[in-house]
Amino acid sequence: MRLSELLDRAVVTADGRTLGKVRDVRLVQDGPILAGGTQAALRVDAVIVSRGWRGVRLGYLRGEVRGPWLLRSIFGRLERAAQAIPLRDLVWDDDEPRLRLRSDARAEKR
Amino acid sequence: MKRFLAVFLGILTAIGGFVDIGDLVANSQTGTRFGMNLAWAVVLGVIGIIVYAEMCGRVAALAGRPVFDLVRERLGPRVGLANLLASFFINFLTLTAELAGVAIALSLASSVSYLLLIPFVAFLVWLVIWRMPFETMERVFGLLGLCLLVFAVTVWKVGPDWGSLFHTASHPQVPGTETGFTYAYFAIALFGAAMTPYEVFFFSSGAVEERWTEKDLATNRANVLIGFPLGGLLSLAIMASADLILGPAGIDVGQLSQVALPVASALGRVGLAVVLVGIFAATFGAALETALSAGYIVSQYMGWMWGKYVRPRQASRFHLVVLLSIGAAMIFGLTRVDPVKVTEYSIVLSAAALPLTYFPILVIANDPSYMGDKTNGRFLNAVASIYLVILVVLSIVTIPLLIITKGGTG
Amino acid sequence: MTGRILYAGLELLDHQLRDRDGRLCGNVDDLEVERSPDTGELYVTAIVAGPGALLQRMGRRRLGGWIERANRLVGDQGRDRNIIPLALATRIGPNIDLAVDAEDLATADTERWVRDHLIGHLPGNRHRAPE
Repeated sequence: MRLSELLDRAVVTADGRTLGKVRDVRLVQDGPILAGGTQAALRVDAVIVSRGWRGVRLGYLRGEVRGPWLLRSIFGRLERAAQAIPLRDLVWDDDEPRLRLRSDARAEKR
Repeated sequence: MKRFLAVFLGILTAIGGFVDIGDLVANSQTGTRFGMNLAWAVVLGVIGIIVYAEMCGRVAALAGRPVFDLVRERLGPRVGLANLLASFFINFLTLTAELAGVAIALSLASSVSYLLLIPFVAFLVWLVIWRMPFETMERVFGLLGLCLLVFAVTVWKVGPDWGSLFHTASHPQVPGTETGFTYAYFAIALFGAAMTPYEVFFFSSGAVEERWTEKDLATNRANVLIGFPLGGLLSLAIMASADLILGPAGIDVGQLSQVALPVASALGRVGLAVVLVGIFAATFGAALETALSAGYIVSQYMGWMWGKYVRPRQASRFHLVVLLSIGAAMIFGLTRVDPVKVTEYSIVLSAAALPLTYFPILVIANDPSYMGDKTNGRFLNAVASIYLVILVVLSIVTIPLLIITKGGTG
Repeated sequence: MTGRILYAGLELLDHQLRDRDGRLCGNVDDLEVERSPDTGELYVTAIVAGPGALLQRMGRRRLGGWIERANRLVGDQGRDRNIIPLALATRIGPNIDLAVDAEDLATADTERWVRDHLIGHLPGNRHRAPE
């Protein structure tokens, strides 16, 4: 499967309330060593969901960009409103375009 | 001493290369219609391009990345593609205008119709890109462009009332013959002529071509902080010449030949010869830069190998885009499209499209993972942010103004 | 166990790929993700770059897939060469460095075609750029 198939999909709670869309995906390098390589595999850990502008990957929160003040106040706020939802808390199948939160999941605030 | 010479040459090249057909047309037209009442727009544009170019040069030197590379990375492929299409189209208009400018300069010197010369010019532009080394290209046409200083000589020769000239420039008003709308329209045109995007694509890609490192930053700053303002003064000299000589005679600049008229009138045949060399060099140099920019932006968006610093066959797609762009611009020019009109549209639309490329650069210039400890200082960020707001406002009002003033004529 | 945290959109997607000699060889158009049969977790297994890949990511899946298949047929290779195993990535930063030669990647296919059929026929195409 392609990672882009996760991106831009709507995420809804167990009772159907929309949380937003998948804007980015968090990976953690704690998998087994890759075959033919020396580094650990990248595990898909969580999806970053927000209601805001899709292009929010400028680096104001998750990256290190600090200024200018004008842009940080606009985009920092957008990025701050995003939440990380661990993959294990989601269910999806290929027929349903939306990703659904498990009823026992707690939303993790970034 | 050698270092000083290199810096000096760099500054001269920056001055001579500053002016292109957009500046020639915009400054002449505003000079005749508005006198010096729009001089402030040139000053504003020059400060803007200084800020923009300094950031691009720094990003290129420290991160090794040119502008369009970063557009896709930071804005995403969809927004990046929209950006690419808009930039490419405007760049194409500019290239057509520059090719026509070269052809007209040659036709004024040779009495051959400029249309017949366009294919020849297109071929020459391609040939120079194909064979001439990057730095040689910049130097030759930049230094030859200094012939345009003849406009400053023209102003001096006319011996104007300097006091009144400065007074108008510093106390701008809308002349009685014009409306607030045309005033605003031409302010945008002047601004867009000073802050053309292709200059930035070319500048930042060129910095990567020439393998700038941190050591080159000081030279970059010298070129930009000294060369560009002097280039701006040259633009103002063009404006003043038109104001002093064409204005009183009621001559409107509708053709490129009229741009040269003030110099011919004040300095005779010698002046005309010098100004034609200058116009030729300025437009030819700009044609080279614009054609290369077409290749740069497409290649950088797609991730292809690009540049003149490798053998042509190692950057085949890049060279193909350059070749096709020159060919398409040549064909467009041959449709007898009015060169002055194309120039006007290209600079005005350039102004409208500026936020697209300025915005990602401003972000990257603040990113320590790319810039190390050389991110923007607070003062620069403040100025750069103000300019971002100005650019966004411009992009909103430009198209409506274009329609309201019917392209500056209304 | 904690490991390095990466954000796919911010640090991987659309970044410039460089081969082992530093030559530019495409952008990261997409990432291939597989579920491990042992742990049940989802892992990023490969970088996707090449003809049709970006179109597939931007939603034109049928057109992009068609281009990808057409390129494979023309190149007579059989396997999906847009897929670059992640193990070949030696460094992930502003650029992503790969331990392969640019010529072996699918991103070089159109370059090779243009070179062999068009640019390569122009005199001076081997002209070495001066230092």
